[in-house]
Amino acid sequence: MPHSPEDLETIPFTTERQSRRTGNWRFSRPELAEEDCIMCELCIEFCPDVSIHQAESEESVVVDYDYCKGCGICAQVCPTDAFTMEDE
Amino acid sequence: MTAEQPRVTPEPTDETAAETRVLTGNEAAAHGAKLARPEVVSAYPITPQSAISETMAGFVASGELDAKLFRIESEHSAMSSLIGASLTGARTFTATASNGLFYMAEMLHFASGGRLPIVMAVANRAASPPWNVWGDQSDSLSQRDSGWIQLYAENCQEALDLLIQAYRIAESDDVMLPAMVAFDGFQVSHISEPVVIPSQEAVDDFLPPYDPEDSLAQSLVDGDPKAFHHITPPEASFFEYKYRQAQAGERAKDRIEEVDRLFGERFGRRWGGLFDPYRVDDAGVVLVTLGSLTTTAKAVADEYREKDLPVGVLKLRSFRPFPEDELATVLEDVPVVGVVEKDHSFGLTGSVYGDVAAALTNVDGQLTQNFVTGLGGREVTTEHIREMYDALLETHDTGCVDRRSRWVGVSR
Amino acid sequence: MKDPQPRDDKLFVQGHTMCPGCGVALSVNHIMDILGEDTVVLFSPGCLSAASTIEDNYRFRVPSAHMGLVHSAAFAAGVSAGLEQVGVDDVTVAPLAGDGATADIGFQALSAAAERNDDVLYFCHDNEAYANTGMQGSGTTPMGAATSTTPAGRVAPYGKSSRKKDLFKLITDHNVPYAATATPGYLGDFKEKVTKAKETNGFRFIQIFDPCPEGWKFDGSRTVEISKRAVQSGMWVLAESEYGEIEITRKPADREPVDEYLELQDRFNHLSDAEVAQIQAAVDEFWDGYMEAEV
Repeated sequence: MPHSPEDLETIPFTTERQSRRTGNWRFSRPELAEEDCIMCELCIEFCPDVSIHQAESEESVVVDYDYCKGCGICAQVCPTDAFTMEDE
Repeated sequence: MTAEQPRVTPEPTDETAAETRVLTGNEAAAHGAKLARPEVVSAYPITPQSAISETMAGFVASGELDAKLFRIESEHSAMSSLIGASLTGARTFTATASNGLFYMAEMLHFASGGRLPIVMAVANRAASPPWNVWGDQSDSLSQRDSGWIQLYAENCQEALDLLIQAYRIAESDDVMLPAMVAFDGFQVSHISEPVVIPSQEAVDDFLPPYDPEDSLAQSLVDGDPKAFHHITPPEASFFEYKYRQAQAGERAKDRIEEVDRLFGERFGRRWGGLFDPYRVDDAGVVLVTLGSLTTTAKAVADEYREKDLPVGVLKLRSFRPFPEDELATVLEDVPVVGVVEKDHSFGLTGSVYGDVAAALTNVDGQLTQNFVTGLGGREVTTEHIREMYDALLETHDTGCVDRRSRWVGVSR
Repeated sequence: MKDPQPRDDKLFVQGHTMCPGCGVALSVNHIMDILGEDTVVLFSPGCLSAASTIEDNYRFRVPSAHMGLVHSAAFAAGVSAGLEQVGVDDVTVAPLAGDGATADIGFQALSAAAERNDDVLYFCHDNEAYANTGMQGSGTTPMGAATSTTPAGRVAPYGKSSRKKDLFKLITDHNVPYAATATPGYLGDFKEKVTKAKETNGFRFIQIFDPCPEGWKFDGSRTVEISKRAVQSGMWVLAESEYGEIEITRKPADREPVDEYLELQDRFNHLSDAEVAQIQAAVDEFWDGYMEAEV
């Protein structure tokens, strides 16, 4: 016996940009020297905010600044020191 | 609901192709639950309901019931596991009493707030300490604010019937609330009576499978990820969600009445819906009862009527939702109303009395009195009921209540 | 700088409000990649649920439910049984519970579900305290750590006085099909274990060491480093077990002295040399125990 959906409170997943753009948390931002990126993808693997992705060109990574919180893990783990943390 | 319902003696009809067996209250409850085809059962042993868990385990082991049965390690986990199962869209069942009910108290609110139509049998037992495993109604009555539907059975047959009805009421589109069926520990759970067990076919026809529109299973199948019971801050829709829950609780009254009627049409037994008035129409004095005490009260009422004393019994069946307006209507011409219950809330008065008295406040000149009795399984005899009627009749004559609450049967 | 491409393949997405550098977020990201979309996630009250399943900000692309604190394993067992009964097969039921929920208040339910071998893949995110409510001590807080309920003071300078409860060992002793410890600093090991667990049936338990920058008081950029140093010093063992038989999956050749690990986090900065020596002795004993237990 189905019941009215409004009775059972659920929220759907959505990929729409939420108002909670955590990028505005940053005190410092990772700046990438693209030429130093060797596409090892360690920064992608270790980003807790799913905010580093393969660039369309697939020749380097790219940071999603809408969401990047500036934790600095990417700069720490990058084997070529391609990231510099700059003041936001 | 003002007209008195005719008493129906349980007899199998051809249509229901039922069998009659001598069963204890626990066994009757287990049979009722089994016929409803729960898919996940999770119950922890506790006197006086352990036999329900055992009987259900026997049904599963023999193949009579196709369900997942958890050998669960506590009542809190019993209700937790059923909440998880109910969220997937499975029909669920458990049974408990007293300390077990209290242990799962946190989860009672979770089930009702979660709008999950879980059904539970409660073999009413006293609250300890002192340590006492015998029957009184303190357990379920003290959980009246947990958001659960509460229906009280008087005897083994009613326990079986109510278990089936509870699922239909709980799972109604416009209700979707959990329901407990309570009956007296030992006085019903352990006594044997001939009970009509309806056929599975008849019950299947009366109670279709549980198939909620929203569930974890449906979300998976639809590929439509949903979060259930997510965090809802103050300015989000928590308050609205609770309002809808409250409205559903009100709507449950209609469902209880309707299901009682439909059950009667299908199986030949009606128990009265929200309550069952007995010789109330022309009564000067009425005793409101809950559970097996009703049988004793009716016997004494008949005795008093033989002596032309105008007494009646109002058997309250639904404690939650509490039928305030309906009660006020059926009792509006009764000058004196007593409430007998096997619990006490705080101080000298009981839970049921408070609700009855509040429902009757607008009836001019009506007097009410509370009788607390039978705690810890203390036997309640016809003598005790006579004491209550005598007190009420005296109030009827004098026009005053000597005290709000009398504890009947206790040695001072 | 080129425009970022949204990742349609991700089941845990950006926009959650976990702290910068949160170990739990890092772990959950990889867990979801491996578990895939035939998963039901169950949230225990804590940082993760507060940060990713709040009314206008649901960050998971799978169905989920929010549980209470006491009962993760029982609730999950119920979901698993229900799905089976209603005919939805091959779904991983994954409670994501903190250490407090697992080691303390929920231990009864955990132990029973393990004993019954309920079909659940239980993740314990061990950040060694009740993080979301303000870093109160839990059963898995390590000896010597300062927390809000085991603060270092004049009368009790030591922080938490008892040892860390070894959940992995305890669950292993329930003879479950699979149990493991993991940490995001060693991602290869981590992913192998989650994959193995996913492909097993019955009760599976993975305890993940998740560094907590806010609670342990270190800079969030060093989460991966702390995760690795814990393993290298022997404070955390990477191991797995099947039906009670333990295998250590990463043995540091020479364990680093614990003080190098402790120095990285201000939650240990009150410790005297003597106390650090006690911790070192405890870690040595811990490792001896694992060496003996290994098959």
